[in-house]
Amino acid sequence: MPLAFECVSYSYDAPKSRKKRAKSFSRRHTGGGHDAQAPQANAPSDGKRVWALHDVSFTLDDGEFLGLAGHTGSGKSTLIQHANGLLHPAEGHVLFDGADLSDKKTAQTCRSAVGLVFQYPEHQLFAATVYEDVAFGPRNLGLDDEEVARRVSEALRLVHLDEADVAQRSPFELSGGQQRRVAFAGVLAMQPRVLVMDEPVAGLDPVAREEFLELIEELHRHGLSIMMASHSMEDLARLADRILVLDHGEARWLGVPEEVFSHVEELREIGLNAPASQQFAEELRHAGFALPEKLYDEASLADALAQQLKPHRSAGADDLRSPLADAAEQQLQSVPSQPTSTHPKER
Amino acid sequence: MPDSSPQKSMSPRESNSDLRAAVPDSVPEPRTAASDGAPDPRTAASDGAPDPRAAASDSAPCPRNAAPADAPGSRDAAVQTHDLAFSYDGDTFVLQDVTIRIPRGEFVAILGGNGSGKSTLAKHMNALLMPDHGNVTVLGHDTADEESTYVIRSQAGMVFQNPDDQLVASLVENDVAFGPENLGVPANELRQRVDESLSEVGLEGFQTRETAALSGGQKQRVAVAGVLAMRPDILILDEATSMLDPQGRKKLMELCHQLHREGKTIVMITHFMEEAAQAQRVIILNGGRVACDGAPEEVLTQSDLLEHLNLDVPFACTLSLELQKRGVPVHVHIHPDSLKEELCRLHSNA
Amino acid sequence: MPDTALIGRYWPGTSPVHRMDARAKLVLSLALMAVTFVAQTFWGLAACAVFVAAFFALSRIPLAKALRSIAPLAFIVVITALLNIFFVQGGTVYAQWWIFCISQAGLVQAAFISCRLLLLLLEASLLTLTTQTLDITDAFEHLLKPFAKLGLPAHELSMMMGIALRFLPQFAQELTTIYRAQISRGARFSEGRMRMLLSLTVPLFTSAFRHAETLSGAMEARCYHGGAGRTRLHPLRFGRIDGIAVCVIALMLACVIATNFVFA
Repeated sequence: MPLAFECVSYSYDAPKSRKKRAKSFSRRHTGGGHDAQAPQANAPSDGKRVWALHDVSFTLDDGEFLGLAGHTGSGKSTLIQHANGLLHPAEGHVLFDGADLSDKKTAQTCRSAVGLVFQYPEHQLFAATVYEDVAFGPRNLGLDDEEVARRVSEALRLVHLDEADVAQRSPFELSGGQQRRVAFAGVLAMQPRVLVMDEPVAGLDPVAREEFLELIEELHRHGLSIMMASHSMEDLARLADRILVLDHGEARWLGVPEEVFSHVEELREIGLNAPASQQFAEELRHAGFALPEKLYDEASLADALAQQLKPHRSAGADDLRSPLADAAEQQLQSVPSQPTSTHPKER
Repeated sequence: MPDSSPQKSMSPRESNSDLRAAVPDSVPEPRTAASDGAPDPRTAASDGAPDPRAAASDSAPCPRNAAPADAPGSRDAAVQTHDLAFSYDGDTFVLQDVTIRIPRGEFVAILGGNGSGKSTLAKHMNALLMPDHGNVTVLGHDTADEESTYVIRSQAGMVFQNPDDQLVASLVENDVAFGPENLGVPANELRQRVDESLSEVGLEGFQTRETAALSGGQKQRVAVAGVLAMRPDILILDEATSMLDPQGRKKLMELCHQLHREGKTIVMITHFMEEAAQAQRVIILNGGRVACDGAPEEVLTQSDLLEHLNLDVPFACTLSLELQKRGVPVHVHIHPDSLKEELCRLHSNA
Repeated sequence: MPDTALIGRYWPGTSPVHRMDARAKLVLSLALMAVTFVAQTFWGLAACAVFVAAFFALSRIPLAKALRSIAPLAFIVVITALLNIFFVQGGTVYAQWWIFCISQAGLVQAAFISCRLLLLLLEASLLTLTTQTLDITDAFEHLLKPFAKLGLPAHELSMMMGIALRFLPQFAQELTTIYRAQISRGARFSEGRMRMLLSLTVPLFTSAFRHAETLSGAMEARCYHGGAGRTRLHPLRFGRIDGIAVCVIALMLACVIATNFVFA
């Protein structure tokens, strides 16, 4: 159990963070991600706190993939920044391997073990070459040149970049998708055990997004524990073992995807769309289909629907067949080749 | 931001000319209600086609470069490009042989992966870029004609991707007024235009709000209001929804439909299939060329083609294809609602 | 983001102070500061304080808001006060250590300078709290107009200033994100090494260029072509309020000069 949140509350108006605000210029602006803006913008000055996070408890188990869902301003980015001690809870504790992150030493060691990938991480690239940028993290850990070189190659390999090709090029001449890979490699080169990501596929086109999700899946298979915030419930449904839904800084649900996504209506109320197949299944249920409650993708939904629509026929109850459906079916049979390619969504 | 340097963001896949050449050959027959010869009049009619053209169109798989060769400068075309080619560096062409004609009042979605040239095309429609070859006319004005630059820019308003990078002023009303101010609209009319535009986008009473304190979706609607205040005929949205959350995206789409009903021409650059499915017409760009141009019912149901072009397939289409595979007699839909209707009919008949 | 502007983010309102012509307000704010410098005694400062308090009351800005708006710059006041306390000598000596000496004159001087600085900051924030940046830059442009004949690009300068001000909060926020991202990669900024510094500045500059590029495109798309032929939603116009304001500032100056003579 590498990460545990125990009743964590955080407010951008809390005295603790205000003290820090005065300390340094950059810390004064506590609104890190855009998530933070909403609670901050309406932070009242009369001392009544607006919680960016309120009483959030959960654990991230070893090797687990935890999805983090929530509308803009729900506290996702704030929560993510607690995971490696960038922010400290006003109340409650964040534990890493049982040690409290409010302790400076623990936070320091945790930084290399918990890799944090911010939104649009390519915006943080700075070095003259890809190699130098990826090496930034390992060098900060005080590793020798040989080990640094080894880790850079390893990290570039993990994100499927050809070291020989890109290592000596400037990161700024790469494409957007490649830049993001470099930024990812920069975090992976720290050899973290836990990878925490804020909207890792935001702003990518469908192909790049798919490639990235596969990459993340692969990293997870290699044993990394993962916490990923995303707007896309499809992505979470597909990847996550469990999903934590945040609403106004509070944990609404924590559970396996099929459980969480069974709340289609409630999710919509807090500004989240359940995966398309899940929503569609729910609509069909309202329309009188008897679909069992489970997590659907297009293929499994099609299976369930086919069963619903064909039982009479397979039972040989010919008299029940409508002539109309008959005609339609004949038409379809005359349609040549069925699609053969498999596409990403129907794994 | 990939769009700031499109020549660099071309992925090798997209610049591969072999693939491009291969695409038209591998286009499968579309299995749409329209092209199946409408076996069941009831299903065909309720296919959710927002545009009657879809049902009436012939079964040509993918009418490439379908633009009729109108005389350039005809007034009823909102945007017309002829043999448009463009390159940022004089070497790699980001757009090539693009000939399209968008009639006034049409709702067009332009689709394509990163580096397909879709944003570059949008910038040509607003005279932000000039073609290296060929020409672009907007409401009859040639964009190369310097005299008409501001007429074009005021008539073809553009909303950009990043909500944070296009608002000029810190107060909403000042930002909305920015366009008409540049056009020299007198002060008393400015006030009226600002108020009208804001209520048009559903942000009445936001006049003196700070732009920085708005949500992403609200910022984009302020940007739309800023364009509307110039009283344009055409609204170009360059991936304007891509940085918004689902709610903001939905609201912006609703706004586009509302403006379209009021007679505006909408050109929407996007890579979201569900949004493109709501348009009257879909143009797909690939490697800077028009790969496909037609009604969404024709174009978006060709799952093989879409995958070739690095695009997603709409959910309803994937599900209908999956159902067909399992022998369920449904048509290929692009709107979940129409698919649901057909399934319900099948269910009650079963 | 209430605290992201360096001094006094615009506080919307319709008070007489808000309604003043931005040019008049800009010039009179400078005059107000000058008057504060004229004051040579605590009584003079008190007179200034009374006027400044009245202006804030008139503009209906809550006192807490006004004080919070200058909080980020409070360190200037503290530093100047400390310098004065330790280094100005004269009168009774209360404590002495190495080169530091706390004397009566030092304390008095520190108090005086702090009060004056505090007033100056409040006066500056009064301008920014009641005037939109676009209006300030517009006023700036108008005041520079006479120099435009000498080739000074008045419009462009003020537009640049306006945009810089508009993007300042955003840059501050981006800097925070970049800072935290690099911290997450083990950066230790306390060491102040070149590589650490670059890891902050390079991303900040690239993001500035990125913003600049898209913003200039967006401005062009909305028919921006410099100041020629532009109209204004809120045209600048001198009115009665501005005349009254001039009189009030003149009265304030008279009061302050009077205190200088009476309490000299």
